Parts: sequence; C-alpha cells; structure tokens
Amino acid sequence: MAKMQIIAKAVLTVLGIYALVTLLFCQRWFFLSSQQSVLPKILYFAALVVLAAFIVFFTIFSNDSLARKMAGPGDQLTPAAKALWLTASLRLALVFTGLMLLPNSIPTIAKILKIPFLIRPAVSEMFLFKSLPTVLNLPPEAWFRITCDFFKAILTVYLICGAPSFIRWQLKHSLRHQSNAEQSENANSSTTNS
Amino acid sequence: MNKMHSLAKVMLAGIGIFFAIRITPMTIQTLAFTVMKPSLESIMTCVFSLLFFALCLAVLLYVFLYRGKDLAKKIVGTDDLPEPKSQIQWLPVAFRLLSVTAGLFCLNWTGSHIIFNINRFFMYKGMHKGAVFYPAPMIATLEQLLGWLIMLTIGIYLLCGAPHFVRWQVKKTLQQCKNYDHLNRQATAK
Repeated sequence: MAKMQIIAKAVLTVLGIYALVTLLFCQRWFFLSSQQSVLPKILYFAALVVLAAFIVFFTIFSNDSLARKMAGPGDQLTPAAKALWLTASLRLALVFTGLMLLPNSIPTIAKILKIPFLIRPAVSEMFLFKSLPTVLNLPPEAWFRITCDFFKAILTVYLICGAPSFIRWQLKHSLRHQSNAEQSENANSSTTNS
Repeated sequence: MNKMHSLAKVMLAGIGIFFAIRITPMTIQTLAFTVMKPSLESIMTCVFSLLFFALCLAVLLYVFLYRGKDLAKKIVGTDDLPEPKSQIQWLPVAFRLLSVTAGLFCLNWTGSHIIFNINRFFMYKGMHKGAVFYPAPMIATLEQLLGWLIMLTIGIYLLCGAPHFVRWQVKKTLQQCKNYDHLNRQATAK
C-alpha cells in the first residue's frame, strides 16, 4: 500500500466511526418522541441498523479497495514503513475524532463526577421513604438518553486514548489481507509459468 | 525554514481562518438576543460579547496568520532542523497541530456556551406573558459550571501544545509499530 492509500484508509475509518456515532447517538429523538406509534419506530430502527452495517462494512472492515480508488496508485512502502504510517495515521485520525467529540461528552462526564455527591441523599431517601430515590425514578426515555450519553462518553475517552485494541485489530486485519494478496499473486504467477 | 515549517505554517493559517469563520456567526446570535428584548443589561452584554468576539478574532488572525511563522517554528522545534527523511519526524508535529486545533475547538465551544447562557438569562429576566410570570433561567447550574471549567482547562492545555499528551501519544504509536513488526515477523515465519 502507498502512503496516500494508508491516509485514505485512516480517513475512511474515522468517517465510518463518525457516521456511526451520528446515526446511533444523535438520531434518538425519534425513539424518544411519544407521539409516534411502534411500527414506524421499528421500521426506522431497522433502516438505521442496515445503514450502519453498510457503513461499517465499507468504511471500517473492507476499506482497502475504496482507499485504493480514492488515492490512486503510488509507490509501495516497506513493511516497517507501512506499519508506521498505518498506525500513526489511524491514531492521529482517531484521537482527532475523540477530541472533536469531547465537548459534547463533557456534560456527561460532569454528571458522572457528581454521582458521589448524590449517593448519600439517595440512600437516606431510600431508607426513609422505602421507595426508589427520585434521582433514579426516571421515565424510560430518560434512561435511554442517559445510556446513550454514557456510551458516547466512553467512546470519546477510548478514542482520545488512541483506541489501541482497534488499531491492533486493523493492523492484524491488514496483515492478513496483505499475506492473502501475496499468496494469490504467487499462485497466479506459478500458473502463468506452468 | 524547511518543509515541515512550511507545512505547519500553512496548516496553522488554515486553522486560524476556520475558527475565525466559526466565531463570526456568534456575533449575529448576540445581536439577535438584544433585538428580541432590548434592555440596558442585554445591550451591555451585547457590547461586551461583541468586544470579546472582536478580541478573539484579532488574536486568532494575529497569532495564526500574521505570526504563523513563529508559531510554526515553536511547534516544529529548532530553526535548523534537517529535512524530514525519517518516517517518524512528522508525527510529533502532526499531534501538536492536532492539539492546537482541538484546543481552539474546546475554547470556541466553551465561549459560545457561556455567552449564550448569559444572553438567555438577560432575555428571559422579568419576562411575563399576561398574568403568567416566567422565572429567569439560571446562568449556569453546578454541572454546567463544572463542565465549562473542565473544557476551559482542557482547551488551554491543548492550545499550549499539550506536551505530555503529545509525548505519550508518540510513545504509544511507536510501541504499536514495534508490535506490528513482531506480528509481521511471526506471520513471515509461519
């Protein structure tokens, strides 16, 4: 793979992650609206899942061909240089995505930091009134929103940390892809020679 | 100046222009709030906000466009740097540029939220519709204040180039590359 192809691969991965975040976390208003009936919600959810799967497949899992089309041909890198460019460009792009998502996750992080101050009154309320504390007695929509925000905050922190396991997986994936391509090339050349 | 300095200078100018463009619509928002409910407080807030935005704009354009060369030298390092033949020389520079961009983004986010809340407070203060009186919303809750404080700290740290963060990211990237080399050797052996 050439340098530009690797950069295109990183950009595609980040775009995929950003699209996923937008689709899964920012489209929740539809599920939260009580005016809609159940069927449109199910249909909307199914469409979202199909779209998300399509995006994940073409931008994260199998992005090599698309990256080649985007960047065009170029000089092949040595394995060590390829590893460096792939790791560095992916890490840069993922950290940048994390930092861009950070401002929207800060209110959630502030809420999480506030939890220790809420535990004591909640426990005393539970023992005094023998009922669920008011801070936990929320409608399902609110719980859905809190869960979404929580997962978004976790994703943001993971991306800022450089998403180490994701990069490792991408490297392994590209290594496997490269060795498969080499094997098929060898097989093709041996057939042509014979 | 070598290639890295030129690249950093161009990128810094781009960052400066991008954030200058982002700041401009905020002035319209401030003006809109004042037009909706003109009072002494809202006019004062508008004047203060406009001055603040103008100052931010002037600082941005001065630092990123007029003095971009100096900032690029600070980010890249010494003036007599060799041409980047090595594959990793660009990595700390890229991370630092990324940090500066993210820092500006964080400060932009915090500034716009603070000004929006202050404007909203003065707009709703003492507002009533017929017999119904609408109490003014608080300028900020404890959570919001905590969030702004965190964002402000992170923003300033990132804008200063986030030296520890950059060092840690570069170290981790190089470690992962070594792991990849190890994996590659294993795959070749198989």
